[in-house]
Amino acid sequence: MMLFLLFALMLLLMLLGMHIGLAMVASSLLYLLFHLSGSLALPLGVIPQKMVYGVDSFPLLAVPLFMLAGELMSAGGITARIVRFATSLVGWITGGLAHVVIVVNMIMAGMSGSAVADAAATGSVLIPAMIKARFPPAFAAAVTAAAATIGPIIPPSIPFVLIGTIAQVSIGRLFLGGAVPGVIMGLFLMAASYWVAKRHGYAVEKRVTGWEILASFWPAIPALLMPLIIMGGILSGIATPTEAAVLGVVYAMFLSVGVYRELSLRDVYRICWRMGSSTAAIMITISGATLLGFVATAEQMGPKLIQFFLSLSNNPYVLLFIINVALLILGWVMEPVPIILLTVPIFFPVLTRLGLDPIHLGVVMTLNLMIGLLTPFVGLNVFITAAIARTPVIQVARALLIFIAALVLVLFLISYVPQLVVWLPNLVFGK
Amino acid sequence: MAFKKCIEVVSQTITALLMIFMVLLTLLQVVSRYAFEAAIPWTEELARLDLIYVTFFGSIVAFQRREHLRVEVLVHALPAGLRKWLGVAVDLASMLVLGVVVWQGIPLLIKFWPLLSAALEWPTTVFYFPAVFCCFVLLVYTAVDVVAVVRGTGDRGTPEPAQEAPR
Repeated sequence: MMLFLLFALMLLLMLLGMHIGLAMVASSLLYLLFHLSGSLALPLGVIPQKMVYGVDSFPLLAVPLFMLAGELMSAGGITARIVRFATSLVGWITGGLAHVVIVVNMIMAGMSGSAVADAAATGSVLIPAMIKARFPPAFAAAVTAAAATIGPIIPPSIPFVLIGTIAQVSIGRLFLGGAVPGVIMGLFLMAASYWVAKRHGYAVEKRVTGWEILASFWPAIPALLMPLIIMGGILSGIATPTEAAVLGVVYAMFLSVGVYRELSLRDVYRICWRMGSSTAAIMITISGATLLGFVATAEQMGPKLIQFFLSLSNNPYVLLFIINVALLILGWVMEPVPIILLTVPIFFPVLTRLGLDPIHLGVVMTLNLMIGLLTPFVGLNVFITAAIARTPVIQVARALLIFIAALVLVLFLISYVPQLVVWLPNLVFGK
Repeated sequence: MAFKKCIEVVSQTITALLMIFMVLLTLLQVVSRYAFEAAIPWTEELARLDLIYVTFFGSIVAFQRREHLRVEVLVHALPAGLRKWLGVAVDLASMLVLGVVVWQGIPLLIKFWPLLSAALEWPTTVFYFPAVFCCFVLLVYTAVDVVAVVRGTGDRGTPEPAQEAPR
């Protein structure tokens, strides 16, 4: 009962517009005040203590570092070069620039770790180009928003860093686990664009020769090396994900300031505090969630929830279905990071106990939450791309339906064919 | 407004410097392990400490930029008048929470002073200081905001458009 009140209060404060991290602290505070005496009494001093404890973590350092690397790359002139390469590669297929958007996102995914950053970076270049090629603005915005969800699935990925840290599973494995599903997402989205483009007869770019592809490949090489540096560092055991991230930052600095000369040191300084601020927005939520998690543990939340889930079903795949539906609904009203912080400690123990691979679950959850970025309310991707295309959000939402359908299809595909996720990490790291 | 501007500039500078320091530290950690074949024992702890400082000082920046995660579905559906007073109520509640963190944090800072951290052997107080200090700054900041809104002179600011990526 207390547990229910704890979460009900938190949700109420969130809905009233309090910052999510603070709402978590507020409800924990009220819980502690009610239990100042008695056998379960905890001093209020645990509040600042747990808040700091939650962010005192070396793996979490990867979050600001990946953000920094991604922002330096996308602001530093890399996007334009990748766009040119992708255009020569897939621009001639029916659907034209729509495929380019998707391929660019699959490549860029290897750099930034954030869907929203990807939507902004590729959208500002490609949406105007698509509108110029007479694509309906709503379609251009929709395909860009949908393609950006691939970012956090193909490594590196900030949600995977968070899940790996909270659930104590290998971040390297999670990274690799996302590779195959990310490519499948790309293929499904391309199929959807092909179908829409065929029906409405959208423009295609002209077909280019093999030589021209090579010519556009050359300038894109430094950008394509980025994921190799990061993943290579992790897989070869030279670097932890955090250290690989810092190698990414140094490489991005070298490219954007040294080679392409598109960023001044002043720009770098500005990117530093902006990304520090974006980091803090995530970290403060983690801080509050740690305190809340501590209080919920004192209230025996874990065992109670496990009992509840097992009363629903013993079959991990049935539970996975229930969890998927629950997350899709949550994703409508909340952003991925707070959902991860709230639900990973709940879902992981239950499902791994029933024999589900934690890597599989982590990738399924993340893909699910990315779909939430495409729904109105908190669908940041949609707001950004609609703003760039200067189109009402509601029209973009309508054009998005087919892409959301494609992604939900991928979601259920990887939910029920776990091999698609775990095959690659098991191959590389062993069982 | 001068107060807010001042906090803005100082917190941005601190956050930027902390981020740069973080990059250098983690880089030093990788390089030292391979180039000098000896890991420096304190880099990891100092980097974690740096992250704690980025979290709380960056939080002040995020507060100004209205970048903190929140649910706005319901709030946006409300009529403007109601939204204003709900905002004030939520701000007051937030101040209460921040106040508790500061009030409970100060004795903690004193208590932890004799405890030394594992690698750096610094007083553990330095790990908790940014939480207490920055919650205090946010408390004052929110108070200034609330006063401005109640008086009707407040500019609550609009969230920065996210697509305004540096180019």
